Amino acid sequence: MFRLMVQKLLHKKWMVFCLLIGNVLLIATAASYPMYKNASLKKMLDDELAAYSETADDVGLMTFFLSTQNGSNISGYNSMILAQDTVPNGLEMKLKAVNKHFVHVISDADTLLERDDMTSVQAKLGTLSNLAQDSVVLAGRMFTDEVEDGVIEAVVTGDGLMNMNLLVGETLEFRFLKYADGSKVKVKIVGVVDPVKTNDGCWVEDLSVFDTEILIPERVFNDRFLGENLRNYYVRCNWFYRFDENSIQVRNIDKTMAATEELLAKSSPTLKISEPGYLSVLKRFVQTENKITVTLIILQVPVMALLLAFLFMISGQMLNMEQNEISLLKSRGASKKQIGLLYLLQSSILSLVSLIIGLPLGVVMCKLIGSSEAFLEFGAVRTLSVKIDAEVMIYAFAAVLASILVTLIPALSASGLSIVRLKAKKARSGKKLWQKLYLDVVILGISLYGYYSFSRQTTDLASDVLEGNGLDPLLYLSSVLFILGAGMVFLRIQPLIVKLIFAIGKKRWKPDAYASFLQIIRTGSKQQFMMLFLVLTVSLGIFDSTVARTIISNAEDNIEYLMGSDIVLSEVWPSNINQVRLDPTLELVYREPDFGKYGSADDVEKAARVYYNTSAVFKKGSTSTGCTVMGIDTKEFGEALIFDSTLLGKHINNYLNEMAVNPDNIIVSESFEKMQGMKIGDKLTYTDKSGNEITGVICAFVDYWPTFRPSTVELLNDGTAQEKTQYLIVSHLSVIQAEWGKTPYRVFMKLKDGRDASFFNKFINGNGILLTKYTIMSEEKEAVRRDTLFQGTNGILTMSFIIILILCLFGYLIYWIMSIRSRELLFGVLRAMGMKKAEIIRMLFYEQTATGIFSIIIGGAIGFAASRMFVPMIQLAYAGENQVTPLSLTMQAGDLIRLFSVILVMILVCIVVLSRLISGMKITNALKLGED
Amino acid sequence: MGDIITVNGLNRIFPITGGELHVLKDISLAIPEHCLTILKGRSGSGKTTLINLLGALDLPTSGSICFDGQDITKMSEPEREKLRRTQIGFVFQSVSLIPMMSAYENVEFSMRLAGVENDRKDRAVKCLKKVGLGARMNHMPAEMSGGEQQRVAIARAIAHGPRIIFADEPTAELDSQTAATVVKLFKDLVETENVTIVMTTHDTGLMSAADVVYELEDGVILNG
Repeated sequence: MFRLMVQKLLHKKWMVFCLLIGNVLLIATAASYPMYKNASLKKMLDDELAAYSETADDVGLMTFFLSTQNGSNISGYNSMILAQDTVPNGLEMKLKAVNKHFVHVISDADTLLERDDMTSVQAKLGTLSNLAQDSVVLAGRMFTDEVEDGVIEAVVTGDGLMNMNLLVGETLEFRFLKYADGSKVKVKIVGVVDPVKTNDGCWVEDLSVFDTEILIPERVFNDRFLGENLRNYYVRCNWFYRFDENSIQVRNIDKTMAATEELLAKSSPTLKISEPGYLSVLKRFVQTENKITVTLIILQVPVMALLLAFLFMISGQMLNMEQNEISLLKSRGASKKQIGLLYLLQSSILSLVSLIIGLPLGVVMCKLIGSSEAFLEFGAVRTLSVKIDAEVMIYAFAAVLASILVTLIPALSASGLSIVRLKAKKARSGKKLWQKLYLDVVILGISLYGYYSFSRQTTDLASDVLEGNGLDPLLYLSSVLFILGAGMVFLRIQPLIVKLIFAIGKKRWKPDAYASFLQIIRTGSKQQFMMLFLVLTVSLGIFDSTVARTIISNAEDNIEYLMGSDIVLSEVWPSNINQVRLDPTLELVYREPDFGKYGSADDVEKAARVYYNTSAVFKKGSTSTGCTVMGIDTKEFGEALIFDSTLLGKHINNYLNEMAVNPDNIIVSESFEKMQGMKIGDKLTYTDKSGNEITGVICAFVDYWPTFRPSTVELLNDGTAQEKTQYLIVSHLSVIQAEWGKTPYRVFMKLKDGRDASFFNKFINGNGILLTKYTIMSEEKEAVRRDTLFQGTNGILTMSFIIILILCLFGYLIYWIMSIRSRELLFGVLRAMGMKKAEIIRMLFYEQTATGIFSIIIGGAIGFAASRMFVPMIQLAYAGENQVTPLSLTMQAGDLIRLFSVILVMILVCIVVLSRLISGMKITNALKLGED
Repeated sequence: MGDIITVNGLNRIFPITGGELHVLKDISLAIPEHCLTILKGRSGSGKTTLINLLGALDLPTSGSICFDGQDITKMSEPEREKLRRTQIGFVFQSVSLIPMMSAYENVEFSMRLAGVENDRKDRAVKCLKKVGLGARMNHMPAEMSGGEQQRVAIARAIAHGPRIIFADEPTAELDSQTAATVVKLFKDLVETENVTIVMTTHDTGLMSAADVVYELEDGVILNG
């Protein structure tokens, strides 16, 4: 049986090749999903933990604190000691280090040195584990464990030495701290150390803690004051657990969080446990994780379905060729089971080979996804650690199983036919089951229902996103169903159109056209799957590229809008704030730094001062409402601005010119018109926090303005989102500075064409500028592209697109080559009847036009329609709460050119192959085919 | 009555792995016009090769074939195509109908190919009636028996009014009774349609209908 199968495979090497490609891609795609998901989530987690670490050092730190006084709480102490070097249950993290800091509370000590300046000192006696290792000796030497005549060797920090006013070599005697034998504790300062702060070192606390502490060796502290002796002392005990936060595995996050919280719940006044920084990071992460996981899998579904359809199509074709063999085997007594087994064996061998190629390819695909910068663009250096783990294998085997099922089912149903029934079946043809059931109309209907119900609740979608939900699977499903349904409806209509065209010129058609029309009309159902495949390919290709381009470009547009210029910064202004803190009656006065330096930087085209006051109020009647006041110099602002004026009815400069006419003129947000019923020419009075009033005259209403959010959505405590209208007043900077004083403003810097922001750091350092905040537009855009959700989406859509192109190429070629092969006798007859080679090639070309090219055009139309309908809703899932600018659908001509040029190449290759097949064909040989 | 085809010194050698296969050896013969000529021989004797050469489907290794005084071996491919389209009709051993066309369409199609502009419909119907299939014009090939299909093929071969019809083993897949009807049909056509028919067969029972019989064996004509 094995030999039979091998022969069978070798005989149809092209088919087998296609099956192999389909299987390999299927397995690679399936395997790349968990690989990419896990690798990028891990990367994202590490990035977020690292980002947290930049501002605080407690990301993996958990502090256990207890104090014990004369025997109280001793059991708590003992249980801590027992567990101190082990990782608490269920945390699923590596423990980097446990550092201890024990210190006596009692602190009065007398110096035994004759000193004029002091006799006693407030000094606590403590110990740090690993102190010797984590410190550099500044003066004197490091302590040893030696205790001579009850004198313990000790060190202090440099600040401690100063603060306690100690001398190296000095011996102190504690007044109330006694050894177990009742003698007073004495320490000798043998050295001064400089703490070396490392992440897992012993210097966990703020160093000022050690300004009043004398540190002795851990062993001495343990021997003299802990253990049995502890009940005589009042000691504070700190255990600092340093966990390796990078060892948190994404799949263990839930366990880690639960175990951490369980541990924290044990915190009590007798044993205080601090919350480690990673917990808040994990909590936030889990929300995005869910969104990413769902989104990534949804995006994979269509291409997987297409791959299965491809396998189904190829194995169906292969089966068609083999039906005679099956029937023959059957007629000679092979049981259905044996035939099924033969095919099972064949599928399994193919799958095994595919698995061997597919898994490494999956790794490559995963890395490509991870390096995608935009649709069909790779290159970002983002190291993902890709692993083939159990989860990956599960996905790969699920793909194998699906592929075996898809290829086996047609074989099983075919194996039920004997040769007699096969011939009978071949003679019969008619409407397909799906056409009788109107499945196409049903699918299209479902998708349209989905479309309308989603489009009615776009605000719900937006708030869904705020609440941390990802792309709604049903929404994406609707869009894919729309493409499928519309494609199937096309299949129903296409024969009618062809028949109509045929009928129009029935008498006049040339032989080639006549033959191809009849071919299409009479054997159309055989081509339907291929046509559907083409329609899906083109439309999904267009749809995917539109989704990918749109989400990125909208995010970027939004960044441009919210930033307003290439670089936006706030400089620290010198002021008398320190005096004001001491004496609140003083007025806060700022000194304006030189602004001219910004505009004169080499790479800067123009700089502008933009004043913001977000805590201003305006009065209408007796009610005051909060608003944002923006102060600008109209000319400067207009020149330094990056703004898409299509958002406003006319160019923004028109508004600025209008405003410039009169110093009292102000531009206000549309909310003043809509919510407050104000008109152009109305006077509007607004005040700052101190109550200084300014009155302006409204000269224009705008619904968008650089950096302004017309409404914000806030998440309420109960988790629901609520929209809040915002008010903006744009006034002259000179007026504001005159009335409210000179206060810090933002600086907008627009770069010259072709320049980038690389000069910025040097510029800031060179000019000694202190910044409170700065944002660089190109970096913000880069961040969006690197965002796991965006990148994953782009990467997966790009991969899908490439896979679709590959499938399209092979599917189309194999379909046509097979179709030609099966018609060789016919071509021989036609040639014998005197048909020219060119006529036969033309005949095939017409056939391709009516099926292939027609499908491609329709696929394009469906793709555009689907993009127009569904992309606006899908992109909401990516927009997030910051999205202000209205959506614009982005299609790049380049993508379409890529798609259509691949299709063109495919058709050309097809025509070349066909022409060569036809040209090389010997009539007499072809006719012999009929003589079996 | 003249000869429509004269063949002189015809050789056809096929290259095969490890040598050559000399299928036709120095054949000379003449096909008289308006006659039914039968090429007889066992399988492998070279009759299909000969009829393919006569029908301008293949080119000989050497020798000449004069069709109506013109040497078709010296014609260009388009010229031979035109010849096949207009002057020649073919009937093949196996089912050679175009599967996606009905009986009527098959017949009409050969006239389209030959460039017949007018009265295609009448002529097609007439031809189908002549072969006794007037009632089954709109049936698809798959819905017909082997004999019926072969008769459609004959109707198709005569429809565009060729001067000669080549039939390669037209009766091979038919039972003897049906085969006899087909040959009788050929005989009728020679008389009514004014065509010349050349057919090959290995069935010795059909020889009586022929005007001329050539017997082939191992690529040589036995009865000169």
